[in-house]
Amino acid sequence: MKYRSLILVFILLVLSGCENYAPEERNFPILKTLTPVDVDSSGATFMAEVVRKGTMEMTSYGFLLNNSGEPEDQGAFKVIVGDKIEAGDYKVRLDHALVSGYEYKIRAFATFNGSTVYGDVVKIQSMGSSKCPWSVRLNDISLEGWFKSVSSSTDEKGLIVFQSSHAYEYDPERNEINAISNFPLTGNSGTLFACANLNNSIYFLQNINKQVYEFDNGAWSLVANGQNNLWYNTPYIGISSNGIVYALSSIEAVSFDPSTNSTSQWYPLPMDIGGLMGGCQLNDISYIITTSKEIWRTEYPFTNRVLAGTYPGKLIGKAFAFVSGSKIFIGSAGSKDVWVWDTATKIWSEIDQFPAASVTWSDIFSFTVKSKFYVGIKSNGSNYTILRFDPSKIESHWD
Amino acid sequence: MTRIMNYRGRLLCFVLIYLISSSLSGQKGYISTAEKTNYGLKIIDQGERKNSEFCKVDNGNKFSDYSPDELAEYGINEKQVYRSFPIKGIDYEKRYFLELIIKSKIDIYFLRQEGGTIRYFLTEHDSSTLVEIPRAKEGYTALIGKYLQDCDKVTDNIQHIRLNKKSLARFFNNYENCFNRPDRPLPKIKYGLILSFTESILSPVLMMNENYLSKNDRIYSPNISFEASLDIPIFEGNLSLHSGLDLNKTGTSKSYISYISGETDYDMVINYTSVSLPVLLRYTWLRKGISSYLEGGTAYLRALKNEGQIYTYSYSGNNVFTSSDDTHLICNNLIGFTAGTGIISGYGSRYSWFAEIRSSIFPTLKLRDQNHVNLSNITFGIGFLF
Repeated sequence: MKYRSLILVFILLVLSGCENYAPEERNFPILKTLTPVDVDSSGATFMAEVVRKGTMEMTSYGFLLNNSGEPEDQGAFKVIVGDKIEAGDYKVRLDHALVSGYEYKIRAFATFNGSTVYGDVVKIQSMGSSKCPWSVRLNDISLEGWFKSVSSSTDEKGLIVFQSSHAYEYDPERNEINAISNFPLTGNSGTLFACANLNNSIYFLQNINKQVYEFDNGAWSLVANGQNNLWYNTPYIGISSNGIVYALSSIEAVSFDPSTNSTSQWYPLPMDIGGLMGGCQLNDISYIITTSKEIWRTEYPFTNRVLAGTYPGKLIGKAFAFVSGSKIFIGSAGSKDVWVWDTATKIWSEIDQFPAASVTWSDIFSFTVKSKFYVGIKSNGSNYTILRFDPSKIESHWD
Repeated sequence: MTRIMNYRGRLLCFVLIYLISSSLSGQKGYISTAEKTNYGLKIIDQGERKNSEFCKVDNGNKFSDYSPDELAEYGINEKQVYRSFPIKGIDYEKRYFLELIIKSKIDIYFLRQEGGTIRYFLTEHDSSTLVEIPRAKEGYTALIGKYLQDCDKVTDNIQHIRLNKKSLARFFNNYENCFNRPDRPLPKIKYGLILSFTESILSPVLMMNENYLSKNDRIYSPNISFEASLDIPIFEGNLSLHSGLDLNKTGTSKSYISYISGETDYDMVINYTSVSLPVLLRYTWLRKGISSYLEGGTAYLRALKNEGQIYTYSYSGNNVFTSSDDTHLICNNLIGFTAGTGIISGYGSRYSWFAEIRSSIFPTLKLRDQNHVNLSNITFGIGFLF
């Protein structure tokens, strides 16, 4: 019995004989990004270990995550957990910003004295997050169309037409995108389109021969020969109002009246508001987004325009804009910024980032089906990713 | 010519001496009857069984056979002596020549009969009363122990006797030493507990370029280890098989700083707890006071905790990118070599203390193209035996 006690004492003496070794103290904290846990559709818990606290005072620490680049890249999503860092573990539960279907690179970080120290990169396959409006519907699908695209939607499906005349239909119910008959005219990079839904048919106005085509029940039909002659080399948006389809740019308006199969134009408009990046229609009022980030309000007969606001974030490349109630959600192909503007209160709010932003591939198409917004963006070569934006998930942002 | 003759003369003398000694070597036997003893005979060794049945004498031109009824004793040489005794069987009584294998306070005899049956007998020294030694261990240890009460250290070891010629010879040799060499304790199974100061020597082999300070250093990591040991004498001589379980906890933290600006710095961290099983051959010079020993052999080492990290710090402008690579810098299983020496105080006592110094090397046989660390230990320990 006494031998057992002695053996036990010796073993304890050995095991407590020396402390665990750790890396030497440096002026910055030594961080280890740990593998996130509890990754599910409601979010993920990010964890990090502060192996050594470091001798410098920290000013903030947390996590950086990015689904399209490195976590330390500009525009990566940053989660700040605190300011004074201590040795040990820290963690945070993220219930937004994680888009279902994307792989994220994550780093722990800490800032000190104008410098930043980063932990290792770990990766997770996101299953989404409860307050993130974005989700990947189709990832890296190959579309044959080339040059830029225009898009619109019927009540059930989205329609995408490329300047190369390739056309596709996206079915949100089935989450499928399928090629349809090419647009009747062979276009090129100078072809300008504008299209809009009127009574569940989509009308295409274009500047090659000024003809107007209707897409209905999967078929194209010529509905008007061109009478409009100007069509400047500037982007157009398509809207419909009072039974008429319009193509609006910053300097002119072209219209098509299906009841008479006639076209008209207004030129020049009373003021040049600069280059057009995108726009949207809220009831009978149209909003035009310019390259100088101004939001211009206009309505029939479009001869008058009012500066309604200025976009507070970055706009790079082609802009997308969605309408929900009195609010307009605006983002762009080359920036992760997405802001919502309440047209009633004129208040801007920043919301979860556009996760597929790409400054390399600026082409983008967007449409709305059943109160859900869809954005397609070129992700790699001729491949596109289609994301869905569900505004109901972020109502708590302003309610 | 004189020199040649001298040479030939010396060679002739050498050959003659050799021939004479060779012829005499076959004539060291003897035979005894109750009345007389004849020496200088050449007695043929016929093997254990036939030797027990008759004695064959080579007379040069003929052979003479003598039965146990005719002789009281014969000796093939000084060490191989047979005595005639009447042996009882289940349904017979017959005389045999029994081989005298132990001549001590008691004499022990050996007999191999027809069919290979082996029997052992004893007599009190120079007595003619023959007692058969039982085959069962309880029986023969009790019987032999009864006659050898005068040497405690022998009777302590009596449980280790096996009933064969060699074991009996070693045991009685120890018994004689009890009186002839009272300073030599008898070897016996010893258990030990030892607490050691260990200097672990960690030799990193890191796959980084040469621009780092301290890269080729050996790292000395002091720690404490504990071993529970077992020492089993081999043939009750000075050799023993030594083994045990050795618990050791070691580790290090080492920085590798580049002396070229813009390079990457590293920290290597190891926390390694292991248990090793040495299997050593130990030779002990047994003395009554201080005994000393040398030992050597192999050791198997198994990691209980094996944590190794290489932290990397890359500097880019105002940013520091840290990363850690969790890896087994030391293998989980190692086989190495161990050698050592030590002293034991009061080996023959029930409790004794000892001190030793031991060196172990555990070479890494793989991971040639990966970061790894070779491990060796030097230990100085003090413990006690029981």
